[in-house]
Formats: sequence, C-alpha cells, structure tokens
Amino acid sequence: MNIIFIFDLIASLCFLFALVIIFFSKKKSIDNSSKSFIALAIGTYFLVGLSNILEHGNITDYFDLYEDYLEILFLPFFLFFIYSLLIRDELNKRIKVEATLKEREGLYRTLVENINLGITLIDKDYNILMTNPAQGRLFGKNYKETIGKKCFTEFSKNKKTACSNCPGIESMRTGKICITEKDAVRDDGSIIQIKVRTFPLLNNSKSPVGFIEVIEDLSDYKMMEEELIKSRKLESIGILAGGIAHDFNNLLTAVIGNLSLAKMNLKIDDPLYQQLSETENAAYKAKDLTQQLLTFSKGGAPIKKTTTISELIVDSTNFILHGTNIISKFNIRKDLWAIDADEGQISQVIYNLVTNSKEAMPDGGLLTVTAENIKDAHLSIPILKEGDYIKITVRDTGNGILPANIPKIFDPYFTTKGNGSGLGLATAYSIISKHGGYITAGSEKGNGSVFYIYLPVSDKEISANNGVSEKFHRGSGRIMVMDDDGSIRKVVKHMLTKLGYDVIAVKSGEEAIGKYRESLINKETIDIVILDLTVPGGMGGLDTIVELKKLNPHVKAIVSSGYSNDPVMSEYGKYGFCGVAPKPYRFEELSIILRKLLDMEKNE
Amino acid sequence: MFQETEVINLLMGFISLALFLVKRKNLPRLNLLYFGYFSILCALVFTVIEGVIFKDFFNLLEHMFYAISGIFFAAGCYKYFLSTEKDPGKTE
Ligand SMILES: Nc1ncnc2c1ncn2[C@@H]1O[C@H](COP(=O)(O)OP(=O)(O)OP(=O)(O)O)[C@@H](O)[C@H]1O
Ligand SMILES: [Mg+2]
Repeated sequence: MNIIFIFDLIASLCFLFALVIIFFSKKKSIDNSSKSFIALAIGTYFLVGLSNILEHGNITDYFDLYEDYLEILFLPFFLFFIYSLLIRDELNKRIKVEATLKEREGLYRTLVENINLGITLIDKDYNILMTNPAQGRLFGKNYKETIGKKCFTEFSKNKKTACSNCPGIESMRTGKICITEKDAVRDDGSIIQIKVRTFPLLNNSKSPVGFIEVIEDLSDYKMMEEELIKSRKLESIGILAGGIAHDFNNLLTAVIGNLSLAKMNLKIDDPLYQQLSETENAAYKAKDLTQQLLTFSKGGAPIKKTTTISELIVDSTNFILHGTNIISKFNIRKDLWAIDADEGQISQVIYNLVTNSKEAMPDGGLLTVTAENIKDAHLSIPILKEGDYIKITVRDTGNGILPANIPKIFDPYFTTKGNGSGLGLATAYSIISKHGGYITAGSEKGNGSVFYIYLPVSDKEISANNGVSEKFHRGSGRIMVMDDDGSIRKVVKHMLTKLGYDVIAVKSGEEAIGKYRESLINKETIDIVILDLTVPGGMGGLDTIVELKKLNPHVKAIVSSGYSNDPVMSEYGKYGFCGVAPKPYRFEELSIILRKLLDMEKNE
Repeated sequence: MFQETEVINLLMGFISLALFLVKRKNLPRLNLLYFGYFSILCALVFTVIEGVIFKDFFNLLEHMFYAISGIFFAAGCYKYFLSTEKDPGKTE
C-alpha cells in the first residue's frame, strides 16, 4: 500500500516538473503545437497520479471515476505530439531543399550571366528557350526580348528561314559537339566573326529535343592574328631593304655632300646653282626613298623626341595639298598631348595618307584632319597597351576603299593604282607600329575613306626646341672624322674645311685613337670627334669612344650612322656621345650641331 | 475482470506503437520522451493483466511504471526543452 503511494507521489511530482519545464521553455527548436500536445499528454498522467494519491491517501476517491477517461486521452495527445514533430520535420527538410536549390540556381545564374560567351538554349523548332546577356551584347540586343523567338530571326539579319547548315541540327542528328567559325551579321549591318559550338540537348529518354549554342566572339582574336601577319610581311621586306639600304645611304651621302660643296662655291644667281639645287633635291628624294625602305628594316627605328605634332600635321598636309582644289579642314585640339616621336617619320605618315587622299580626290573634295586626346584608349581598342593616346583622324571625300580591300591596303605592294608602288600605307603602318601606336582604316565605297592613328602619349616633358635653321653655321676648331668610306671622308673633310674647321680624317677606330693620343701629346686639342658607329672589319664608334674617354674623359664625340635604329643612335648620351648625326649628312644640321657643342665648351 | 476502457486503451496503445515504429526513422531523437511513452504502454499492459492474475503484484508494477514514466518525461523535458546544449529538433 505504502509503496504504491510513493510511486504515485514520484510520478505526480515528475509529471508536474515536466509540465512546469514545458511551460517555461523558450526553446525554438520545438514548435508550440508540439509543446502543447506533449503538455496535454503529460497533464493527463499528472492528473491520474494526483487522483491516485488522493485515493491512496484516503482523502477522496471522487476522481477515480474520471481516471479511466484521462488515461484514454494520453495516447491521442501523444500521437498528436509525434505527428506534429513529423510535420515539422517534413517542413524543415523542404525549406532546406528549397534553400539549396535557390543557392544553386543563383550560382548557375551568376555563371551564365557573367560569362563572356553567348549561351543559348534552343528547341528543335528553333525557338529560343533561354539565353544570356553576353549573347545579347554580341548581337546588340536586349537578350530578354529574344526569348521565345526563332534563333535565325534574332541572331542573324533578314533571315526568314533556318540557316541551311545549322550546326545545332547537325549536333542533334549526330549527338556530338559541332564547332564552326563563321561571320554573323548584326542588325546594324556590322559583321562579327564568331566561333559557334553546339551541344545536343537530350531529354530523359536520351533523344534530342534541342541544342545548346555557345558563341565566342573572335573579333579581337582575329584582329591580333591579322596584325601578326601584317608585321611578318613587313619584317620580310625589312630584311631585303636593310641589306641594300646601308650601302645606298653611303653613296647618297657622298652625292649630297658633294652637291652641297659645289653649291657653296657658286653664287646664288649662277645658272649652275639652280641645276645643282634640283639635283640636290632629287638626291634628297632618293634619300627619302631609302629611308622609306629603311623604315621596314631594323634600321628604321625612330629617333624619338618629345613633342606635340599639331604643327607638323598642319604643315605636312598643307604642303601636299598646295595647288590642288582640295579643301582642308583641321580640327586639332589646342592642348594636344605630347608624344615621343620621330618627327620625320610621323610627317612621312601624314604625307603618305594625305597623298593617298589627294589621289582619291582627283576632282577636289574635302580633307578633314582631326587630332584629339584619348584617355584609356585601350578600353575601346584592345590591341593597344594600357594608357593615354592621341588619335589622329584623316578623312577624305574621295572614291573610298572597297570593303574587300580594307584588310589588304596595309600590305606592302598592294596597290590599285597603275603607277603606285603600294608602299605608302605599309610604311605608315610600320612607322606607327614602331612608335607603339596603331593605324586602321574604314571606308564605304562612294563616301570616302577615313584613317585613324593612335599614338601613345609621352610621359616626358617637351624637350627644348632644337629648331634647325637652314643656314650653314661657320666655326673654328679642330675636328676629327672617322669613317671607313673614303668618299664620305673626303666630302666631310672638304665640307668642314669650308666651314672653317681644321679637319683630321681617319678610317678606323684604331687610327682615331692613335691620332687623338698624338694630339694630346702635341697639345693640339681636338675639339670634336665624329665617329661612324659601324666600321666593317675594324674598331667601331662604340669601342672607340670607350678608349677615347680613357685618354680624355671630357672628349666631345658625335656618333653617326646610316642605321638610325641602333639604340646607340637614339640614346647616344648613355653611351658617352654628345650628339648624333644620321647619315647621309645634312650639312646644315651637322654645322649646327658642331657649333652648339663648341659654344657649350666655351661656356663651360 | 477486464474493464472496457482499459482494453480500449490497450488496443489504442498497440496501434500507436505500430504507428510509432513505422515512423520512427523520421522522428527527432527525443528518446527519453519515447521511453516515457513506452513505460506508459507497459503500465497499460499491467493494468489489464492485473484484472486476471496476481492483482497486487501487477498493480504494483503498474504504479512503478507510472513513476518510471514520470522520471523519463521529467528528464526528457529537462533535456530537450530546457538545457541549451544540443538542438534536439534534428532527425539524425
Ligand atoms: N584615301 C584613300 N582613298 C581611296 N583608296 C585608298 C586611300 N588610301 C589608300 N587607298 C587604297 O590603298 C591602296 C594602297 O595604298 P598605298 O598608299 O599603300 O599604295 P599606293 O598609294 O597605291 O602607292 P604608293 O603610295 O606607294 O605610291 C591604294 O592603292 C588604294 O587603293
Ligand atoms: Mg599611296
């Protein structure tokens, strides 16, 4: 009797304890309905226990009547409790699955929307099921608007039926990936080169229901490829040109030098003077031609200086258009950025372009030259290196270039003119490339042509104007000339003597060093040394200057060469020279350089 | 002799047990509570047997199992509803 009472007491207290806990529980992991059901279930047995206590304690057995009904209630309540747990579990699972699905969908979406490939899902009736922004960009459309429409109407121009050689259909037929490269026409008429990969889209029973089309834009890639081919072609000419240009240049130096000398001996009103001037001009033209050939060769590297080329553009253009009925219009920014350029070469480019325009407008027309500053040009022209550029646009209203010819016009020897050499644009291209720039053309037959030049902006200050006046500058002093070519030695010696200098001519570096040492011993100072950079089979200018510096660290030397590409020529200062004189010599220039060096010495 | 309500209760107990066993894989691990429930089922069985033989003995067992059940429920509620150590809402 007693022990049963104790059991009941324990049971009641425990159930009460459990009830209190449930009542105060704040745990979220078990929801309220579950809590209520378990509380009700436990509550029934608490009451049963209570009634038992009252009964066994001989207080009252009144509640014994209801005990059976209370007991019956426990099971349904407990079942409800379990049932609510099950529902909740199911719910949790579903929420979790949905979350993972959403997450995965988000990942897929990011992938498809951010990839730089056009991706399209197409069913077997050519309906676009899904596509991505890259595809839209490729064809200049809002990609969302293409969904549900036919692929051949959306992704090609003026097509009413499926493409005859649809790679997608091929993929569906063979069940394999199909890769093709083709040109696609956008709505605005522009052509893009694309690579299309199609993959069959299979349903559950592995039969094809459509295809996936992945499109890659090849335009940039093709552009690079073409550039490479172009520069290869130019390179091969360069090898040829470089071979003869050196000798030819030396010959011309002698010719031009002798002509200058002859002119100096004559009065301006002498009839011979006029003839000599014309001969001289022709010789300079021949020199320009060599120079043109040399631009292809390694010898054509620009001797750059920092400058703005606004004036140069206007001057070169006007020079060519002078006397024609072509109207020129300039649109050149006042604050055009400075570039590092070989002015001679850049004017050559302008010259070639404007000449072409002139030839394209035999009955006159309008030539517009624009020069502007472009920030971050590499963003729009991917082939350019990062940085700021100036952009020169030469536009004419001539007969234009056939679209089919545009890829070829920069090729050497490509010409549509009976007497053209086809070197004009090739030279321009070569020069611009060597300046780190880019030249490209556009045209529509009948609407004229347009050429764009991009040149990288300089990061240096504009160097002081070393404008060359056209007069001979006389002077006095002792000058040593080293050149392996006898005729050049002769003409330079003559020339400089005429200008008032005392000249020692030597034919190799060894001889130059010997003479210099002698002069030091005899205290007959040699003021300036002119050194040829390359001496076949002998000591060249570079080795000679090193030796001379040992004899006299303050020796003033000018380096001269027909190979203007040589780094020594463009960065002569680094190698210990004070000046540079490209061959063939323009004696006006040489006389100025000499004077300047001598004046500097006096001022020191 | 048997009481009607006791037999009905026992039958319901078996049915609920069958349902419980079928679904047990999907239920969260609230084992203490389930043990409490089993104890109640045992008590129900003893209540019925008590009407047939060994009345006192089985009556004692019945009340003992009530107590056991109470302990399980109290412990279970304490563990699952109060302490913060582990989340019991998880199936596995
Ligand atoms: N402004 C232009 N208008 C029309 N066609 C042009 C123009 N510029 C170039 N072309 C075309 O490009 C071709 C190549 O030009 P390029 O200057 O290289 O050679 P060329 O003018 O024929 O000969 P060269 O300049 O050596 O005398 C020309 O023959 C011409 O067909
Ligand atoms: Mg030309």
